[in-house]
Amino acid sequence: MIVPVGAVLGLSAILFGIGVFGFLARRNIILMLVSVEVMLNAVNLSLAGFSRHLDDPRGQILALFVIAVAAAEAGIGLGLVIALNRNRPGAGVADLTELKW
Amino acid sequence: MNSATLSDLSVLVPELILVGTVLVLLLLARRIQTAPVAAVMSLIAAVAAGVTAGMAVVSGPQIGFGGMVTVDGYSRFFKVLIAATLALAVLLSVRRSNEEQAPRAEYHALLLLASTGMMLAGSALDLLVLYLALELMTLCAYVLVGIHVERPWANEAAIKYFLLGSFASALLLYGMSLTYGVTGSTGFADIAAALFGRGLETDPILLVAIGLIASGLAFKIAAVPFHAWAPDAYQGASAPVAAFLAAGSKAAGLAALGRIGVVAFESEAHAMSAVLAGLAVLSILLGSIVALSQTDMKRLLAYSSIAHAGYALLGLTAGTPDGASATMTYAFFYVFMTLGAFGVVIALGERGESLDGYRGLAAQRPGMALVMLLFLLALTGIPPTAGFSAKFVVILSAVRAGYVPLAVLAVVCSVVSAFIYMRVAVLMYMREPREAVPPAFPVAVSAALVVAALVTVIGGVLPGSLSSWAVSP
Repeated sequence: MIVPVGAVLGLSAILFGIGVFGFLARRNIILMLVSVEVMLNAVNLSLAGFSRHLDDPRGQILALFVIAVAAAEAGIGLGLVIALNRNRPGAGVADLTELKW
Repeated sequence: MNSATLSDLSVLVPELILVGTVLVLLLLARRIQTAPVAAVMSLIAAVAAGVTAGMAVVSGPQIGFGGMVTVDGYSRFFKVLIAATLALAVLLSVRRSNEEQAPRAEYHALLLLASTGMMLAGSALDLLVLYLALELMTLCAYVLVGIHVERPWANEAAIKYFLLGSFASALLLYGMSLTYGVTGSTGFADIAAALFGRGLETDPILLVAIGLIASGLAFKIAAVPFHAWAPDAYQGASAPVAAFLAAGSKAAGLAALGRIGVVAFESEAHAMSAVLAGLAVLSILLGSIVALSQTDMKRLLAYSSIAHAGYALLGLTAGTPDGASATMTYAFFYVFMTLGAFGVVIALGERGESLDGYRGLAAQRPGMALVMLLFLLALTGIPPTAGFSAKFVVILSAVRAGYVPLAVLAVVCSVVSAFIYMRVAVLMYMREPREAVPPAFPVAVSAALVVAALVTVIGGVLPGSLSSWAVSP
């Protein structure tokens, strides 16, 4: 069965919305990072959907690059969280109050 | 598709020089951790990259890698500008011997890699390359901000920058994906051709895509409402990193916005300029007003950089090649003004970080106070400094594009901002010093300050000196 492109794009838009909501609503750094990953996966889904719809491989290539860069991004993000934890345990954004206005 | 040839690689010579130096630095990292070799190597690489970039294109634009990257007047301008930013940032990073050091080889390697990304952003002709270039820049910048892992405030700044930055790049990517879906292409020229053929009716999905792409790029230049990272990142990072980010990240973001706006979304110029005008108004207003209440010098310069992002966007709102070249002029002069102002902050060390540290500086170190005054006048936009000629061209292009209220607002806010910068000047010249005379600063920092001051003065005296260089895409 071929999934219609509209359904793929709708799913990707919903997923992206969930990611945005999660990023704005969560107060834990790790969960915010996970929300960004959800957003990136929504992008990948839409790229693959468009690629299939347009019968053009570029979208899927772009998605592969996005996956690779997202991995690097997650690596840096977790590294920063570990560095913060060494100095001050806890992974809540509420603790990040040293720099203000 | 045929494989990459030597002529493809010749398009990327400046970037290859920087990446080659990075590899050497990382290979030698353990041996050169305590010696100033890393700084010398980075400086040589930056100068070499700048010279090769400046000498490129004698005979028309060149395209490489199947139309993915190009060398033309536009990319040459930004490559030279970013090489200059890198060279000055390397000079400013030379510290006094008694100060604690970040790991030097890694620090310089990250600076060079971030600059590589910035250079690529100016020459990208494809959404994929643009995305990779901007990610290369920001991923290195996150680490640079947090490179002092033992300082809690640096960790905090890096995490805030990272979270907002990755959110913004997800927005940018979704915009790119929608653009690809609507136009069936990722190359800027093909996107423009596909949109041109559609006629006047605008797809709502395309409007969303333009909005998302503009938001993602507005984050890189710290335009309101995507500015929240800048004050925290600048304050938490060490001052040379903050200077590098304020100058380089802004130049790269403007380069990308300019090329996308003028080439890819040419036929959607009205939508693009509406978004950019909104960003410009908010940035100028918020940057000028919030800067009034700052007591930390790096935070003050951060809000000033937000306001300047707004001024730079004025040129792009016109959506014309003339407007783009006004923005290029602005970016060029702004880089030297802001690097100079940060240079004085760096030269003063701990004392330079808070506004109170500037009390009575003129009595203690008249030369340093005079240089700071020059950069403050330039940031305000008072003739005969480069700040005036830069503001003049962007406001003129906003008027020509019919955004008269925007131009009036820009002029009014520039008067408000005079109060911010002159407050520092008053502290320097009309208050009694409370702290001991600051120690002399390294020769490298003075060299960087001299270069920045020269460009700021020459740009003000000969405002047309850049016009043959600032060619829009």
